[in-house]
Amino acid sequence: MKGYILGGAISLVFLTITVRAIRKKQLTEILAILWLAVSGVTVILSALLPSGAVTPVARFFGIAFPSDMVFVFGMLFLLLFTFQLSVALSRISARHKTLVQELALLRAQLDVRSSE
Amino acid sequence: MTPAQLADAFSRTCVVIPAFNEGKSIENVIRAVREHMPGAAVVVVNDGSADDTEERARDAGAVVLSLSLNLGIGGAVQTGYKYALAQGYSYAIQIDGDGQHDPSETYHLIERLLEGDSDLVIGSRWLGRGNYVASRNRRFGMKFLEALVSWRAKSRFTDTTSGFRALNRRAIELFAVHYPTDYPEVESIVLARHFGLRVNEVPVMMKAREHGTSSIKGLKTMYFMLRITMSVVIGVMGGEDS
Repeated sequence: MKGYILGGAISLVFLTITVRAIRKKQLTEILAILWLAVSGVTVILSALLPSGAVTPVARFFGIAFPSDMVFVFGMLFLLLFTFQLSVALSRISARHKTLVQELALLRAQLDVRSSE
Repeated sequence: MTPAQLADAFSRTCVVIPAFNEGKSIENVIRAVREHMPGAAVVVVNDGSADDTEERARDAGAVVLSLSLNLGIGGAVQTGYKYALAQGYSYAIQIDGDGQHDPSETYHLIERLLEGDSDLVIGSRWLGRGNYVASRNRRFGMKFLEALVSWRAKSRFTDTTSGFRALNRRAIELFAVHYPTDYPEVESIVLARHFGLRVNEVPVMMKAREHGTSSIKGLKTMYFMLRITMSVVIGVMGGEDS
């Protein structure tokens, strides 16, 4: 039981952190919604896991223990999310490169104009 | 090739010199380029140097494109090609800012380009001219890349890491849009072939660099090899094209 209480406490703390980050506008809208959903789901899971209400759901996926199901889906979520972040990061660095290049080209043009 | 033809070609050529902290050698390189390629535009791409590369290049009479953040060799060289494209140059020569490439050798690159059977001409250290030496490990790595690129590009290349090259308008147009980021020399050959460009090598002499050391050493070598192998085998480059 102790473990569930700890899990529930961590979920609530995480939910608070997410709400604060959104208030401070540290997250873009889509990511804010995503993390809000994640904190919501962890809070609900911590409440439901001890009662055994999640067990039929786990069985449905062919997983014996609800906690294992949380692990599997948690890992899957993290894997997909980090991959998506890598894709986004690559795109941003390509755009960043283009911007730095454009800036250098524009500055050179400006130098030519001002020396004329 | 008549002197008049050569002079005409030079007047339509943009020499791109990527430079990262090359304050010590950049003036000599620019002076040599102006001496051996009279009439050609000289563009130094200063890749966020911390030293006086920019001032020295300007004083030596080059157009300086100064990147406000360090982009690495690929992003720097591409900036030069974008400039050449926008300014309407017919040819571009890429030459290192560290004094490794002898500007008097550019003649051989331009000559081959003007023959009209190439879009991209690469100056190779290993085709008989000059006596460039590399350590055994380095030679082994180069041999490996040579085999890899020759297989992928379906013709033989001897000096895939050479950054001493000449481009015609078609190649400038391609590289201004698509150019690899990290270690661009090797990948750009495969890229050029992928887009149907004609790539040929000519023998050139290269000197040992005047100052500084190769940017590729130690653990970086491993990353370099892995990265190149991946992009050459899997296909054409990661990252968004810009």
